[in-house]
Amino acid sequence: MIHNFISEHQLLNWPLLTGALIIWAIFLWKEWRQFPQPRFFIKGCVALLVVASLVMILIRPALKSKSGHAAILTEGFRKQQLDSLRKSHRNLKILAYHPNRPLPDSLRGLNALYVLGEGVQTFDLWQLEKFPAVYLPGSVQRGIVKLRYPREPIQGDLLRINGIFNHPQKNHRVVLEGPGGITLDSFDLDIGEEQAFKLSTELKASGNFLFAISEKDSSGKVITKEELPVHIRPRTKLKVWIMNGVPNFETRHLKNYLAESGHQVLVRNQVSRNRFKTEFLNMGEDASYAFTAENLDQFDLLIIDAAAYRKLSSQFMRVLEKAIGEGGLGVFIQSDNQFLKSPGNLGDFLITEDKSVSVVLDAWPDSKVEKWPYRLQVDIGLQSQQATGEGILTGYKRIGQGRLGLTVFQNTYRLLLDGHRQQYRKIWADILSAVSRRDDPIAYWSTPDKLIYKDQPFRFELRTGVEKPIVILNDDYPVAMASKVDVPYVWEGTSFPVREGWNMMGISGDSTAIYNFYVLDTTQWRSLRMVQTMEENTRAFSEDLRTPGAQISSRPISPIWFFLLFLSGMTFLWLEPKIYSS
Amino acid sequence: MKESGKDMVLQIRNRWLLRQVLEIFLYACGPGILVFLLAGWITALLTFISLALLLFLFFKPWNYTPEKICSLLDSRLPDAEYSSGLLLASEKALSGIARLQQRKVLSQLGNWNGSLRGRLHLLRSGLLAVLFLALGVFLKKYQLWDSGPDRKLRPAETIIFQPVDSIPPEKVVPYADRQQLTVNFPEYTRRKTLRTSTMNVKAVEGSGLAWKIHFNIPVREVAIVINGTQNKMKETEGSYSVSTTLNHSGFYNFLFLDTQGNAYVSELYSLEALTDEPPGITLKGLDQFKSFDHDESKIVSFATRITDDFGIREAHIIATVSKGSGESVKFREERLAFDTPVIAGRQTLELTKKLDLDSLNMDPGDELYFYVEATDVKLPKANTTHSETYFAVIRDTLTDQFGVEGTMAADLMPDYFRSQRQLIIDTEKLIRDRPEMGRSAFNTTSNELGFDQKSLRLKYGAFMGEEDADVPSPAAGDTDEGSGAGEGLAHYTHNHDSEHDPPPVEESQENDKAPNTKNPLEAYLHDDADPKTSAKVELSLRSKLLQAMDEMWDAELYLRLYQPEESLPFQYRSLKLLQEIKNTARIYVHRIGFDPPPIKEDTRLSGKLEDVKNYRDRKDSATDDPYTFIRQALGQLEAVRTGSAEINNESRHIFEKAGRELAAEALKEPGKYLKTLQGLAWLSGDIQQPPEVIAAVQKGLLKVLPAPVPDPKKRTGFYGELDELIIKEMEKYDP
Repeated sequence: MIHNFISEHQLLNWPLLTGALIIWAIFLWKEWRQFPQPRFFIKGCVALLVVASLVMILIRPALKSKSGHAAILTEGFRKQQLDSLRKSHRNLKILAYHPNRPLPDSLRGLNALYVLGEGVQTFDLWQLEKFPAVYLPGSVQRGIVKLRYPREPIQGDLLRINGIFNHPQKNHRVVLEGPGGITLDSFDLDIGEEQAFKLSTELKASGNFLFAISEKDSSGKVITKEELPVHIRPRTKLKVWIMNGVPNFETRHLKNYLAESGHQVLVRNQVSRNRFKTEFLNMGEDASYAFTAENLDQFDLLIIDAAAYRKLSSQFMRVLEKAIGEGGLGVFIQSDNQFLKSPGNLGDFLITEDKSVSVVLDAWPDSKVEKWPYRLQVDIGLQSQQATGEGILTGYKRIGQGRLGLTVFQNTYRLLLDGHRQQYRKIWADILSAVSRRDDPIAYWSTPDKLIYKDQPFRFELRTGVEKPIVILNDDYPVAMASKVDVPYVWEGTSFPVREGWNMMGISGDSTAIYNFYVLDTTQWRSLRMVQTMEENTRAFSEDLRTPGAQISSRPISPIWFFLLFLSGMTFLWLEPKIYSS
Repeated sequence: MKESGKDMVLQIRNRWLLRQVLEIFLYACGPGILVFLLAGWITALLTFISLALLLFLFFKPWNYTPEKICSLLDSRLPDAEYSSGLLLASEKALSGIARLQQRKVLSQLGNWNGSLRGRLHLLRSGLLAVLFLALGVFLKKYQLWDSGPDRKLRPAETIIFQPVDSIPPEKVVPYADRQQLTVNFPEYTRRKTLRTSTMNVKAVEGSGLAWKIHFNIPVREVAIVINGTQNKMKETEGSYSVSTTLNHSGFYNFLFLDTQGNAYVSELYSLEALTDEPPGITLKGLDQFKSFDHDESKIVSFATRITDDFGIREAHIIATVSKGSGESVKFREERLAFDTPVIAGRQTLELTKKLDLDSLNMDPGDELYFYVEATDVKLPKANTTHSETYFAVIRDTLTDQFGVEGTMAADLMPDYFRSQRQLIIDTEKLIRDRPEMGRSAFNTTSNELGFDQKSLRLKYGAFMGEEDADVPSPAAGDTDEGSGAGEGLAHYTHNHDSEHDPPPVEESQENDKAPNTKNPLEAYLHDDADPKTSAKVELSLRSKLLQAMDEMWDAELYLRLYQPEESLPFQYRSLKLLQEIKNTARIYVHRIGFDPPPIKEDTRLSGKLEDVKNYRDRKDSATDDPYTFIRQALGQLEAVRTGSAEINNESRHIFEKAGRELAAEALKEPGKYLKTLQGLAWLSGDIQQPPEVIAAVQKGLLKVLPAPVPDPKKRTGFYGELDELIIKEMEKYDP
């Protein structure tokens, strides 16, 4: 039996035992007068019991559990799994799982704990850390189990939603609904195990919008409807400097396109030796066009043609390199044959010759785009922007904080003249968006929790240059933040949002550093959440090989028994002299 | 025989029963029909059923037992001697006398059977039914039926007014109990006046609209707001009326002030002006270009189908014959009628024509080009349509220059313009030959030269990329003066410059020649009608060209007035200007691409740069987003819908502005955006709207917004120390 008897405070045992022995010895010394009467021996024994009880209360002994298994049932568990567990473990305890509640103490003496079904919520995983637990995943509910979409797109972007539908049904449809319930896109489902689906829509206005993805049957009846919050950021205009060594048609159309879209454009064309034509489109005439790093810092993008680029003196080249590397300027070079032959050191683009002088892009099979007979080679650091199966046509490289872009396209304005306006715009929008200077926000928020639920922990990360930022939720109360030890500008925090719908988080004292997030009702996205919880559980339980029986399990003896023993012993010791004397 | 007695009684009973039911049906039918005509079928059915039940209870047809029939027979037939009851009794149970009486009654009954009608009044009930029917038709036709202020209009037709501000709930809200919209279609459409209580208007342009509204209680003032313009409605005998002409699409609503000065607005209604389409012309059985040999039969025959929505007034063929080529080309136009008569007012006409080139006095080498012109009945200004131009040519045996080079009709056009120099030579020749020529021949030639001068002017007008309307013209009527001077010219001058009838040559030139001159440039034009830039860069060129054309006007005027001497100085000036233009102009350079800074000619040619200055320009070419407030309204509505914001004054202001933007958009299709516009109007008011209205407005607004245009965007990205370190490390190891 004794080998089954263990204590939680092993280290205290020796000093305690010594102390207890001393107390008992004092008692015996005090009662020595009665030696060798039988009273002395009886009282000595009782005193030993009392002292032992005290020791026991302090050392909290526990009984080694002989055997025992339990199963926690969470939503979606498989009955067969439970039945086979019951067969192999006769005294299997069954427990129901209640999120955010402590697990009962009775689990402590168990040999193994089985978690069946969806698994415990991620915020409850810590409770199972001490147990030799095994996770047996359950079956996944039908519905959307994977979903990917941008949380904060920009107005004018195409919102692309990719997902996987579990156990789809024939003649059912996944429908993307916009604000006000307008149907924006739909995808027909077919019968099967899983089906990937894609939905997309153009974003026409900025702000916080609540889209929805619903599943509808053939009659149009809504089976499920899940909310899809999207914070659409407004468009910001670029400030572009176009610098041409010789006037060309490409620039003429490009500047018109940019100016009509509302961007600020400074065009500086050299028309003759030391003679320039300078145009200020959508901007004041007071803008300086001196080629200095400070001036370049005012612009988001410099479009420079190869002729002007070649004319840059070494001093101007240094200025340009500084503006890109340190200032974060985006530079796009309008290449020509000579440039593509020897593109120079800046950017170190690898370019190979090919014979084709036109290319048909996949998205527009009806039109050809003219190009120089070259293509960009795949290279470390080269980000491809437009490419075909044969090679990269447009790409950029990061140089420090900025970017340097290059294309082999030429005379793209011909697309405009041929009536392919949309294609022309798309090509240039993609190129220039990729290369231009990034907006460096004061605060950059991110969260690992894709779905945020009411009253459940919402973890988030804040990257900011602000020292000791005070994060306020809904202009209401601050959230405690902790800085990462190794990266001091990254802060982490956890909040438990109480308000469903759109919530707002910001840094105190800065109205621009706002983060909008949507708090869902717990009934939303059940299937998706289930899969995420299952993945988390699988990961958590496989981290340390917590196989059944690997840990000694024990069941503590309640101290109340020792206390009762102590009390009755003391009562006897108190009453005994009185009974004896009477 | 004994069975037949009882059977006969039963037979009479059944017949009477049937007649009784028929009578009840007819009685109930009359009021039923009346109610149906005036109040709809549900009420009519209820009226009919309840009336029929009442009549059934009243007449009690189930009381027609054989005994009752017998007693009725007794009372109606004195000859039955009150013993028809015997008919029902068994013969065996009767005494001998009774049996005799039974037989007597039976035989009597056989005689009277036909004349027994019972107490029934089928004719009366039938007449009553017819009377009710007639009454219903009468009331309906003349709209005399009016149940007074309590009459409920169908919900779709009722004008719904909402108070602008919140009003005490106990207040009695006035409402429109009668409304009428009268649409008077233009007379030429030959459509009858329409009277309706539906307030959304869809009618032909130029229709007269008149509204009449009556309120249940007196109100202070009523107004109608059409496309944002408020007009007070005139009160006559408690009704308010206003009338207007439908000129373009838009919206309108009503508003009124009650006696306490509270304002109420109605929902919006659409005004949709349908344009009268010009006639459509289809030519069948004809090639665009046809050539004949001089010895074959030269007949061009074709059938034309002309259609119009309201009727065709006239249709004819405009044929132009050109003789000669190059600078000696001459023209002659004729207006030809179709072989089949044109019946004015028809909506569809099938016409045929056989054109005999010989009857048009055409010789080998001559060309005929013709088109069909049709005019509809629209007033005051009729729509006119021209068909495509078709060509017929008699091949010249000597120089057959015509090859079918392409499908474009314009490719086949001869170079028929005389140059200014040629015109001068011809004019001088005319002056020289004057003594030998007869007056008529002289006048004819002068007029021809005038016409050629005009053609040249139009050619330069087209070359400049302008409509001839832009060309400065001398006082109107000068050409009329000229054409009126000689009768011999009538053949040639033939309404050329009449304002009422567009000149055929001009048209054909505009249609066919203009692409020839403009097309090569058109593809490179940034903005082909940009007088601003052209004026700035090529001011001297433009003004010179205009000046030259001005001179041409005058030259033409004098040629038409048969005063070639007077015309010559103008022609010389015109020639000089044209020469200057030819020497200096760089039209193409400007039109095709890069805008060079204005450089003086001598400077440019010298190769020196001292006087060439740097050039600065500033432009705001950003086009304002016409949907700014619609986009903002969408965000606001979403915030309201998801509960993160409430409607406040600022958002109301946005809704109002969005409404204006939408109204501008909706002018094209008023009906399409009506509900959204209405919803926005409600949302701009003080009264809380249900979520359904918000969702509907959002939906409508999203539909209005066009697909976004690809546009470069500024992305965001955080660049911290760690990122910097990584980039630096990467660069370090990058070979």
